[in-house]
Amino acid sequence: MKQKKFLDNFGRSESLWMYACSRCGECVDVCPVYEETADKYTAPGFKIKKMRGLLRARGSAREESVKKVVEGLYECTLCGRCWSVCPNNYDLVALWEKARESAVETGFGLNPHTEMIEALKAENNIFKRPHTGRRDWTKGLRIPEKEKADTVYFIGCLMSYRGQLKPAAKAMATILNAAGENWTILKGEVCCGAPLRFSGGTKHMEELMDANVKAIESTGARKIVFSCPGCYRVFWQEYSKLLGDRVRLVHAIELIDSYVKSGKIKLKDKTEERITYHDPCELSRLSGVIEEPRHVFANLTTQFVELPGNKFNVKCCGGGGLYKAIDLDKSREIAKKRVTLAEEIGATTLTTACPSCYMTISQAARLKKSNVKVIDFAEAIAPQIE
Amino acid sequence: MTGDKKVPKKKYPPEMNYSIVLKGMGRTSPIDVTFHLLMAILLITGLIIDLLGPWLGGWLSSIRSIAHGYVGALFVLVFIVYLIKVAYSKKMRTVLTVTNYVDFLFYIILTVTGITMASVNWPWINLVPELADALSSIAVYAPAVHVALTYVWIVFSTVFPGGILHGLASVYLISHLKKKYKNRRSRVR
Amino acid sequence: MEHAVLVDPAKCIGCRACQVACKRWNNNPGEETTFSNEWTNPPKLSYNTYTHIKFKLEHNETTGETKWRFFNWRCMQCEIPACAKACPVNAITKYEEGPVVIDQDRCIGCKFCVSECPFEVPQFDTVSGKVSKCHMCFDRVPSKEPACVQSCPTDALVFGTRDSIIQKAKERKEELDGYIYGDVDNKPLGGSSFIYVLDAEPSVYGLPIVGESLSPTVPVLNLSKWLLVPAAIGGLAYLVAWRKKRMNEKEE
Repeated sequence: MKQKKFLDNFGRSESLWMYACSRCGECVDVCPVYEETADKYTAPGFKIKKMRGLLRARGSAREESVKKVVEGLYECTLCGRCWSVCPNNYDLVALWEKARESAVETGFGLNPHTEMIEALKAENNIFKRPHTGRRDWTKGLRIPEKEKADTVYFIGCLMSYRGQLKPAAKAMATILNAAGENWTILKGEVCCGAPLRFSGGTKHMEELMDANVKAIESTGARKIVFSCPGCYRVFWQEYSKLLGDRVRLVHAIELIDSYVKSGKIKLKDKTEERITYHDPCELSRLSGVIEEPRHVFANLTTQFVELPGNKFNVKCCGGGGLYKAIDLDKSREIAKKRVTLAEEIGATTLTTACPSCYMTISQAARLKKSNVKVIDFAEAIAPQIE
Repeated sequence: MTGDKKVPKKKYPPEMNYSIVLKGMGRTSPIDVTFHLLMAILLITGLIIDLLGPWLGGWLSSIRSIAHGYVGALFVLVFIVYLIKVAYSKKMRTVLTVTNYVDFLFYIILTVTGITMASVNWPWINLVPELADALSSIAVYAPAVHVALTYVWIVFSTVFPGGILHGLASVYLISHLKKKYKNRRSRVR
Repeated sequence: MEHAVLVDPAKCIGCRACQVACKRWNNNPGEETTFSNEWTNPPKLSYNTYTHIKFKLEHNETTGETKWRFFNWRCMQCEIPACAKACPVNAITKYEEGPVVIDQDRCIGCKFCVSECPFEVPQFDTVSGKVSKCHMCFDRVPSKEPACVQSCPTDALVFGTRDSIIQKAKERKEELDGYIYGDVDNKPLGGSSFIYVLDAEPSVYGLPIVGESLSPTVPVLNLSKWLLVPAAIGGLAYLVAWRKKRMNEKEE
């Protein structure tokens, strides 16, 4: 068998895009990572330029230059901000993911990521913790675990294994119970596979997807609820092919919005808390859930303030695309900017609907000794239910 | 920043068609669109004159004077603005390749020879007679350089990834992606 | 049968009857001119002036002698006209009888001929956007001599078949101990239908020494478009190879 070369997996679309890229440089200015590092190898447009060079050189590319490009590829939060300004609307997130996939296949993958892929293969989660401990967090909480249910609450690795997120999961459970939903968590839940997409191990996704689909189909559920936008995106983009049209996929925010609209849950009188909301990239930009959280906040508080640089063109918190594994400090610096913005607009509470954003921003707020309280979206809703 | 992109990603893979790309270009940089549009007009009219000349003859008179001449004059202005923009924009210098700069060199030579030929035409000879005098020394070579360099540029920018290959790839990519949309997933069903 | 005109500057008296006859035959309007140091008016060829007598005053410092030289500046009607080769719309034709004619309806005013002519003959008009030049009265020859020849009082211009004109030129060369420009001694662009018998070196009259073949800029102008052919073939070959490779990949 022929030795595989970096970027060999690029098909017609990707190869053509290397030349079709309009070189306008819009992506360079908006990239949150490039803004922080100022290293041009992290600039999206520059990566395309270098990848085009590698593609043309084919076999004769020097190993060091490939390595440099690969390092640049991993210094990226996959937030899709570059895609949002791309005049050609080319799917850049998929491009970065595909390039990372090639890096892993040809042995250029970076260490934390390859380790994580191994962890996913062995234990079905990204933290290399035992798979049997995935539902340990439910202890002491009234979390239903049924064989059959109408609604499945898909937890995701972060919420399952990270203690800080326990209140968020608890709040979500409260909301689901208050709405009178016949719901359950999955017994055989494994990682959704989104981290594999981010890290470049896409070819191992099938096993995980099969396991999840089997577990979901055995419950006969018609609806799957997500707290993690990463899981949500990989479900509506990839799993929906397997699950068919029968199953509705909703993010917690969409679900809560529909509850508030239909009156399934009643909220108390509006508070006067200055709440702001950070749009997770995976949810707002890459999945298009933008208006729903604003509807809910309009019913929750009189003092909702919009965080600058939000909605479709939201600036990443720095926690996406496994960037934290590459450069924790830079990722925190990016997150601190979001906290600073929240302070500037005078918000007392900063909410977000993504476990990863929550972790990154709350850590940044703690490091910054900021007064802004960072909570998950569900945590903001749960105490206000009548 | 010039406005927001109004394409909520509810479809996967995201759509890439001519209207989105053209709108996107207009949103990103109007000077870019003008630059490319004028260049396309100039290239096409130039090729028509040179390749179809023996058959069309006098019909091309107005094409040469208006579509190639006045548009060319406009292009010179836009090109100068574009070059200044490139020189002052770090983001563009980050993404432009050597081939792009060689392309610019081609355009500069084509522009200068074009100005040389046009400088003796009305109204330029009346407005700036000094221009014709200043450029008279290269007037002998101007037509040959202007025409031959265009063809050399076409070959160059196709073989190396320059302007022509960029355009061909864009057109082919947009047409090709249409097939991919058949199995597109949408978020809300 | 090819015809030619013999131009004999030594016989020319500078009366400019040829210029008048030319304007009358071609219905060309007069020009408003200003005083210049050219000794004559109009000072040079123009869109409406197809032929022009250059006045040149020679003063010999040692002998104190003064001599006028009159040179008929106009289109040479070359055998292989550079202007016709450079014209992208084929508006310029070399006739069998000798004349090189610009079709005013076909001309698009690109001025490629202006750049390529070594004699600086074609004249561009900014108002009409066209180019014109002497056409050797293609509407008169060969049944009638050109208007300028008919009007010449001293036979400085003689019209006839090309062979007879060359014969006459050779005889006249003997008399003058001179130089035949246009065929025997110097054949600019394959020989011209206006043959000059000069009593001095061509450079004295401001005539350039032009090679028999075209200057390299003309073939460059004409042949550069063929670059598209290897480009197209290369592109096709590349596409075929790519498709083949993809098919092979699919089979694997």
